[in-house]
Amino acid sequence: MGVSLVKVLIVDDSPTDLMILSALLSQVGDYQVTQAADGFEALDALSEVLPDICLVDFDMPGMNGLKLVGQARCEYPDLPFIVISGVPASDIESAALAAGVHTILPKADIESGLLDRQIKAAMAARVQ
Amino acid sequence: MNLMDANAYRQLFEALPMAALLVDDHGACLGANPAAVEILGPACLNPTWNVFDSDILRGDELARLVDSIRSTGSLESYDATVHGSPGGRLMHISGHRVFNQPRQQHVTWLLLGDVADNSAAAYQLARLNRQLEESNRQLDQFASMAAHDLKAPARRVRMFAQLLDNDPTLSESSRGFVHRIHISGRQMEEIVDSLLQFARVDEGLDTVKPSNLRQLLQRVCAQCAHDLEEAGYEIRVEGAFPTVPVDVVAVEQLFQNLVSNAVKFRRRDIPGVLTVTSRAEPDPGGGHVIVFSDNGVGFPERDAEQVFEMLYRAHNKSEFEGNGIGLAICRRVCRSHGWAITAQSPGDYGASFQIVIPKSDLDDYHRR
Repeated sequence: MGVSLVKVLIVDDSPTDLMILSALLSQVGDYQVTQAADGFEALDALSEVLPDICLVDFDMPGMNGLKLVGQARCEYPDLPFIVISGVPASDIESAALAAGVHTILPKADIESGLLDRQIKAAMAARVQ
Repeated sequence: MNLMDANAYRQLFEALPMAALLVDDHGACLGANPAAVEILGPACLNPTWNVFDSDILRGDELARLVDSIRSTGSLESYDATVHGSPGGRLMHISGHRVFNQPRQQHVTWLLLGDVADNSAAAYQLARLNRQLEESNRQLDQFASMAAHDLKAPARRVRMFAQLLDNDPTLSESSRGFVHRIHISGRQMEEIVDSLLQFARVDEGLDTVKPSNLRQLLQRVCAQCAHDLEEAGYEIRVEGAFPTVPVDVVAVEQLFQNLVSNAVKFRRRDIPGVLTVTSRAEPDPGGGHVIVFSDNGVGFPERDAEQVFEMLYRAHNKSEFEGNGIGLAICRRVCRSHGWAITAQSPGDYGASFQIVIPKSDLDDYHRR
C-alpha cells in the first residue's frame, strides 16, 4: 500500500512563484499540489480538492491572502493556512494571526526543507 | 475731495521708486517715469518705442499680460524676469486699466516693482527648494519602485538555481555554474534590499519618538550577536548616551550598518574590536558626539568624504563583501535627523565614524 500524499493547495497570482513552490514541494515528494491563480479560483478549488493544507500568497489583486483565509475559514474552520509573503512578516503578523494563519513564511527564505517542516507543523497543530 | 492737482500727480509719477509705464492696447508707450528709464533703458522714452515689440519679457508675455488686464481690469501681481538695463532681474508686475479722458481711450498702467535682492534670492531659493524636493521625492519613489520590482526576479533567479542544485543528474561543472547563479541572485537581492532601505530612510520621520541611543545600540548588538560571535568580534560601549527624538527603525539601521561595516572590514590577524563612545560636547557649542572606532583595515584617508557616496568601495570585492550602499544609508539617516557624520582612517589601519547630534535635539530630553 502506497503512502497517502498530502494535498496542498497553493494560491499565488505569480505563475513563476506557483511553479517554484510546486517544484520545491515535488522535490520533497510527499505532496500532491493543486494551483490557484487568485483568491476566487482558490475558493472554487477548495470544494473540489478538499486540500489538507493551503499555502497562500499575501499580496494578490482582488482578494489578498488574509481575506481569502478569512472567507475560507468560515466554511473550512479546520483547514490550516500558511501565508507566503513578499512583504516583511512583521507588517502583517498581527492581522495574519488574528485571521487564524498558522505561520507566515517570507518568500525570500523559502526552500524545500523549510516548507516541508512548516507544513508538517501546521498539520500537527491542527490535529492537536 | 481730492486735494492733489495734476502737478502733484506728475510729481508722484516722477518720484515713484517702481517703473511705471502707460501703454495703449497696441503696446505704444504713452509715458514712462525715471525709474522705468533706469530699469528699461532710455529707449522707452522714444515715441516710436512699443512695449510689445521690445524684449522686456520673453516672447509675447507682455502683450498677453496687457490683453489679460484689458479683459479683467487689473493684474494683482505677476513675477517675471524683466530684461532691460542692465541685464535681467526678477520683478513684480502689476497693472490697471483706466479710461484716459484727454485721449478718450482706455489705457493700461504697468507697474514694475523691483524685488529686493534678499527677497529675490529667497524667492529663487524657495522655488529651487520646491523643485529639489519634488525631484528627490520622484527619485525616491523611482528607487523604491525599481527596487521592489527587482526584488522578486532576483529571488526567483536564486530559487530556480536552488531547484537545479537539487537535481542529482547535474554534472559537477554545471553544479558549479548553478552555485554561481545562486550566489549572484543572493547578491542582487541584498543590493535591492539596501536600495530599498536607502529610498525609505525618510518614511518614518513622521513617527519619531524619544529614544535612548544606548538602548537602540544594545538592541542592534543583540540582533548581530550570532555574527559577532562567529567572527570573534567584540563591541565595547562607553560613556553616557543621550535620549533624543528619532525614527527608531532608521537609527537602528544606522547603528547596524556601522556595526556590520566594522565586522565586515575587520583584520584577520588580530581580534576585532569596535569601541562605541558617547560624550557630551562642552558648551557653548554643546551637542553630543558618538564615535564608532574599530581596529579593522580602514580606508584611504583621502576617501574620508567619498566613503559615504553610494556604491563607494575601498577594497576589492574578492577581499571583502559589500555593496557600497551601507554608509550612504548611514549618511542619509544622519542628515534626515539633522545630525552630521564624518569618517576618519588616519593610521595604517582602523576607521572611526563620528556622529554629531546638535544641542537643539538634546535640550528637551534628559541624558541617561
